Amino acid sequence: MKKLLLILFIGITLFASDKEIAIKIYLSIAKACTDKSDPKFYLHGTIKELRNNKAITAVYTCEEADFVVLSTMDQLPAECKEKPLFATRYKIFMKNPETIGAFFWQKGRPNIIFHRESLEKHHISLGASYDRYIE
Amino acid sequence: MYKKGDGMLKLFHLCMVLSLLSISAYSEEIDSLLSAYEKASELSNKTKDEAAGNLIVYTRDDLERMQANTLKDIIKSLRFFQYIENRVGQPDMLNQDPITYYSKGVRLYLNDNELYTPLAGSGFVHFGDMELDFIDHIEIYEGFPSFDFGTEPATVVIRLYSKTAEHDAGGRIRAQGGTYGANIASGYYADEFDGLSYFAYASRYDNERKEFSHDGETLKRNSRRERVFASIASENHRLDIHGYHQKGDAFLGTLTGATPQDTATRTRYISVASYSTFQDKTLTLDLSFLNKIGDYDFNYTPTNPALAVLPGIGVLGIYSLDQRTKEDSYTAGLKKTWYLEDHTLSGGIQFRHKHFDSTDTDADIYLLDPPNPPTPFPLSSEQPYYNEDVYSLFLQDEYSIDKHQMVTFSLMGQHYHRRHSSVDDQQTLQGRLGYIYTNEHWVAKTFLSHQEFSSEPYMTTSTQYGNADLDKETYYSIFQEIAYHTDTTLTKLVLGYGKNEDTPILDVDLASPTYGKMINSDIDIYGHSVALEQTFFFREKDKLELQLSTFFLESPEQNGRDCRHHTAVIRMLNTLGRFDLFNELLIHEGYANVSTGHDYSAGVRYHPTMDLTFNLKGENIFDDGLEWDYMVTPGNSVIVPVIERRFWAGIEYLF
Repeated sequence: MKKLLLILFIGITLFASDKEIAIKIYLSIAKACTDKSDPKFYLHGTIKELRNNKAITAVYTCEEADFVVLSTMDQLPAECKEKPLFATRYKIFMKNPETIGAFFWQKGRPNIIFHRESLEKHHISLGASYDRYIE
Repeated sequence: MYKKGDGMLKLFHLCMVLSLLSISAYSEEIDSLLSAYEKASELSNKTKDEAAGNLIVYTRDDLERMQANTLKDIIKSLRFFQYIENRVGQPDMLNQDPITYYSKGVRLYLNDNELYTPLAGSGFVHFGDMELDFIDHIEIYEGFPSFDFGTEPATVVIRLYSKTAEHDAGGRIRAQGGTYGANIASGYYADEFDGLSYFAYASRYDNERKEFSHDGETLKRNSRRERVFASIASENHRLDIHGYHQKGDAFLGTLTGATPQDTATRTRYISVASYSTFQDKTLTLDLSFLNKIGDYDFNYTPTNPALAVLPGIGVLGIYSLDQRTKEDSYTAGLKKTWYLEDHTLSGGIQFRHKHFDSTDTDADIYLLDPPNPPTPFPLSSEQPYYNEDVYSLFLQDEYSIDKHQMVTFSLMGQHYHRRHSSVDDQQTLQGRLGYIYTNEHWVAKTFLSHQEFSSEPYMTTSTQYGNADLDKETYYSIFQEIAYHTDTTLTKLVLGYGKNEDTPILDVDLASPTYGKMINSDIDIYGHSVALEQTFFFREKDKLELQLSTFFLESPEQNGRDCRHHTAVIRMLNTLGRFDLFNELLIHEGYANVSTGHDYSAGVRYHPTMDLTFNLKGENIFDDGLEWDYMVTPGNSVIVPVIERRFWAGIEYLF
C-alpha cells in the first residue's frame, strides 16, 4: 500500500502541476491586490483549481474575505460586492465592470486582465509587473 | 474527458515539471508564472500514456511552430517509417506498390473515436493527410501499442486530440496560399455555457500539386477537400460529428499495364461518435457510426489499355473502370478500470459491425488474347461477403512493483464473423508483456508482443486482387527503449526486432491459380530497427532534435522492395521575440530504385500582435526529397517525389 501511495502521490503531483502554478498565480494576484501576505479567499461558483486546497486560506463568508474569486455572478452575496471581485471567465469580466480583473483561458492561451477603473475604485495599486495586464 | 494516466510513469516528466515549478518558486513575476502555467497546461500532459508503447508527442506548440498544415508534415519524419502515397495518391506509409493499401495496422483516433473505414481496416488511407487546424496535439505510439485503445490490434497508433472550448474559447480564421495554386481556408469557434462546451470547425483545402508526364499522358494528383468537425461536451459526455468530401485526381489509378489518360476519385464520409464516462470516470462507453461512399474512375486511350492476365483465360484489356464503394459501420465499446492496491486492472468489450459493397462497377473490358479479335469480358458483380461483425475483448493489468518499476500484461482477442457467406470466420489473439523502469533521469521500457491481424475485407473482397481464402497474419516483436534526460537534454535509444508470419503479398507466379491475387507468404519476414535520438532544450522555448534510425526488413522477393532504410532527421525550433523559426532536414536512404532523398523544409511565423500571425513556409525547398517508384508494367515505372517542392504564405487571426 505504501508503494501505491507513493505512486499516486507522484501522479497527483505531476497532474497537479498546472494546478499548482494556477494557485500561485491566484495567490500572487491576491497578494498584489490586498497587500497582505496571506489573503483570505472567498470562492463563489465552480473554481476547480482553488477548491479544497490548503495552499490558500479560504473563508466561508465574504465578510471575512480579503479577495473574492468567482465563476458566476448568480446568487453572489451582497456583502461580497464591497470586496475585490476577480473572475475566472472573460464573459463575466466583460459584463460586470465591478470585477477588478480575470484569469481565464481564451484563444488557446491563459490570460490575465484588470479593469483600471475598478482597481482605482478599490484603491488598489498593482506592482509594475502587472502594468501590461491593465486595461 | 481525458483519461487519467499512469502515475508512476509520470516520473519520466518529473524534471520538466520541477523546472517549471522552480520558475514559480524563485520568481513571483507574473509573466514567468503565466508562461510556466501555459507550458504545464499542455493537454498532452493529461492524455499521453507512457506505458502504452514507444511514445512520440507533438504538442500544440510543436505543431504551430512547425507550421504543420496536415498530418503528413508530422508523419514524414516519423521514426522507422516514412510518409508515402499509393498509386491513387492516398496516404499509405507501408506502401507495397501495386497493392494500393498496406497500412492496415496504422490506426488513427480523433479524440476517443477511431478514424477507419470498413474496407481498408484502418483509416490511414483516408486520414493520413488530414488537416491539423483543429488539432491540439498528436500522440504516436509505436511498437504494437496497448490494447485498450480500440477494437482491433495495431502496429502504430496515432491519436489526434481536437482543440477544446476549455482552452480555445473564441474563434480563429486562417488562410494559406501555396505553389501551384494550392490554398487552405479554415475557421473555428468555441465557447462554454451552462456546463456545456462546443467546438465547431470547417475548412477547405485545395491541394493543387505538380503534374507529371509519362508515356504521353499527364499524371495528376490534385484534390479539393471540405471538412467539418463539431463537438459538444459536458463534464462526462461528449458528442463528435465529423465529415468530409474530397474530389480530385487518382494519379496512376489502381490498374497496371498502361498509363491512364484520365483518373478521378471522390469520397464522402461522415461519422458520429459519443463518449461517456461514469462511476468517477472508471467506466467508459463509446458509441459511433460512420458512412462512406467512394468513387474511382480510370480511363485509358483505346490503343493503350490497362492489362490483366487471367491464368487459363488470357490477357484482358481494360479500357475504363468506374467503381463505387459503399461502406458503413457502427461500434459500441464498454471499458472498466479498477484501481486496486498495486494493480490497475482494466477490461473491455467491444462490438463493431462493418458493411462494405464494391460491386457497383462499370467497366469496359475486352479479352485481347485469345481470341482475336477482342471480345467483351464481363466483370464479376459479386463479392465473397458484404458484412463482418467483430467481437472483441481485452484484459490488462498494470502492476507497480515499487515506485520505480512496473509490469504490464495485456490480452486481447477478436472473433471476425463474415455474415451470410461461406467465407470462414477468423479468430485473432494478441498478448503483450511490458516492463518499465524509471527514476529521476532514466526510463527503460521493454515490450514483448504477439499479435494476430485478421485479413481485411479490402484484401479478401477486392475485384482486382482479393482472395477470400486469405488467412490472418501473425507478428512477434520485442521493443526496447532507453531514455536519459536532464534539464536540457533528452537521449533516446530504441531497438526493435520482429517476426512476421503469413504476411499478405501479391502472387506473381504466372503458373499459380492465385496469380495476381493476395496470398499468405510462406516466407517468414524478420524486421530489425534501431533509432538513436538526441534533443537539446535551450533558452526558454528553443530545441534541437537529432534522430538517426535504421529499419531493415527481410522481405519476400515477391514484394519487390528491398527494405533497408536509413533515416536522419535534424529539426530546430526557435522563438526569437515575435518570430518563430522552423528548420528541418530529412534524409532518406536505401529505398528501392530511387536516390537518397534530402528534404529541407523551413518556415517563419511573425506575430505583430498576440492575435495576428503571418507565416511563410517552404517544403522540400531544394526539390531533392524522397521519391517513390510506381510500376506501370515490369520495366516501366513512374518515379515522382513523395512530397514536391512547395511554398506557403498565410495569415491567421484570433478573435
